[in-house]
Amino acid sequence: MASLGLPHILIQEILQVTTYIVRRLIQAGIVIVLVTIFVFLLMRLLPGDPVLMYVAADDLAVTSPKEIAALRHQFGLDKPLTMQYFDWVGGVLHGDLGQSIFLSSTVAQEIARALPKTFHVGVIAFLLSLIVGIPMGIIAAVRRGGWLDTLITVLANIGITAPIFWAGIMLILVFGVYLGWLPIQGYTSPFDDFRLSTMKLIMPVICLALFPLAANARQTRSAMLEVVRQDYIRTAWSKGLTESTVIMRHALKNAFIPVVTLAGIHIRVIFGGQVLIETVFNISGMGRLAVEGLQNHDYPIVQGVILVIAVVVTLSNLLTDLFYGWLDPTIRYG
Amino acid sequence: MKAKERTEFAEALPRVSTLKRFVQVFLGRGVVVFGLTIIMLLIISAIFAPWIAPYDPYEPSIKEILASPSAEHLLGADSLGRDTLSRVIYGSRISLVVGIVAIGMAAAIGMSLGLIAGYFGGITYTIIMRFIDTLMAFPLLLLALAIAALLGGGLTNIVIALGVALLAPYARMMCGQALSVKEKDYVLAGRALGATNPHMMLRHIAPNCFPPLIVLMSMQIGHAILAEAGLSFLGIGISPPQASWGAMVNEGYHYLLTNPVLSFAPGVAIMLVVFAFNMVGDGLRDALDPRLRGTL
Repeated sequence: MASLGLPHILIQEILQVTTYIVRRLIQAGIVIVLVTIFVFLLMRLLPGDPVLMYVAADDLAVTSPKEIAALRHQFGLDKPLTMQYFDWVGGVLHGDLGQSIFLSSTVAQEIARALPKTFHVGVIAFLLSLIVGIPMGIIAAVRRGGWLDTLITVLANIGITAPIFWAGIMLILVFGVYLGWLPIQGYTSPFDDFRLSTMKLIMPVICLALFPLAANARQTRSAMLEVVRQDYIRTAWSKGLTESTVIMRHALKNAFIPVVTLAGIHIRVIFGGQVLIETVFNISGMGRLAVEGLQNHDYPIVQGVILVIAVVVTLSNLLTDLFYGWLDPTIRYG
Repeated sequence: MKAKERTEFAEALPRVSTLKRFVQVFLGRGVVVFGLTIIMLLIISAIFAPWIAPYDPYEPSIKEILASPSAEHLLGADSLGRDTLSRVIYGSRISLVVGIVAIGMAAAIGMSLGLIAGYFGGITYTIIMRFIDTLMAFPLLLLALAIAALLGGGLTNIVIALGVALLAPYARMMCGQALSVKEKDYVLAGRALGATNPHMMLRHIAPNCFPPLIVLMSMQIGHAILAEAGLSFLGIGISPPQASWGAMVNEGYHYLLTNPVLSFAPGVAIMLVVFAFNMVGDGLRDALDPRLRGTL
């Protein structure tokens, strides 16, 4: 009977998983469409006429209302807002994010230059926050009340409260200026000079990882303390299993679930932090591009950067949710 | 007889006042008391800044330009000769106003949206929650940066920008709570008795959300203060000559080699205040949700 029932259960399981994935994909698709509408409207509402800014930026000898109207027609700004939106989205789908007002390049070219730097710094910071934060949380929970727990808790509390731009400046002062151990600014590709690239990354990565690392440590500690109270952990102990087996094989998987939820949030936090850190360390990534775009009223650049970051965050949230569903079956059955 | 038994049983139990238990747990940890002390000092320095600050924070002095810390200027003076300590004291006003007002606004709008979405469900739920999902797709600082650029700098606009950028968690929390509570028997009974929708939402559903809401608000005040400092650091937040801690860190960054205290002092102030609000948030969570006590 059991062998007859197994394929049915398997089919049901596959159906549930597929439904869950399709549902999440549809939700992510809707959010991405809404993100495009939001970004489009936000940029259209920003103060200043883009045509006048274009004229001013390029010192064009265009002053008559007729010539300005011609430029408005050329950029499609005389069309109804809905038509402008569909034109813009059509361009985005073909990789055309428009022309920068201040830079002599397209938005896509600028983003293509900035995105790898932002990803490089961000991905390492994200991995560092997991690789260091989770073990710190486990150690603090296992040694609850001990000096290690106290030390980790204090460090984690400092990590979530320090303003990262200030932490960056203090690191520059100590390790760059006083000790002279690390280069204080700029970005070098690892393909050009791996050692210099790594040296330049240390301080920005530490600053960006500060908050997620501390939050991961706090959350892992909290989740572990919750899990170790459960009956199945007591059963594992009573079976005579070693501490490492109980922690690694039985407690960690369930303690991991809330940490995965945080991971999605931390991707957003790291992208947000890069706006500050790229300014402090003079890294020409997406964050700095956005800030300079806003300062120069270069709205096509700002629009492109915000759109790309929001889509990346949405997709990473989707991946996190799928991973979460795999870890915790009650989510996908819910 | 039964009533007598009940009375005897009740007398046998120790009397526990909810308020007393809350105060005992809340003030039971040293860091929470430390956090409360810092917040009290922040409020005092914000209210009594003109009396506490040794100098006028906006008065430039050519003689004191970039003065090092001394008995006259405990934290030195900035590039215009303005006293750093006085500016740090005045900066507490910005942080306090931004932290409390922006979070109050985020909570009020977010809770209302979440309550309406969860209570009515259907298409209302879909529209509101997809809007919230959209907000969650943007990093906080980038969203606040874009809204601040749309509205312009200044205290009011920064508060609005952060209020909008931070409302999503309140909406999600309230919506979840409304979804779970609206099927309870007492809510169905209320409906059967003819209670109106606003009455049901405000009297029976919203109060259930207050304990986690208070915890979330106290934690988010720190986030709002950090975000304001970040925006001001980028030059998009509070406009000069107003004393904002974030802008002061940026200003000091230019004189890092000659006068590092210009950046150091406001940074420590931000850290202390955010730490204080986080610790008080932890304490409130412990006191309101005993299940989580001591785990975070």
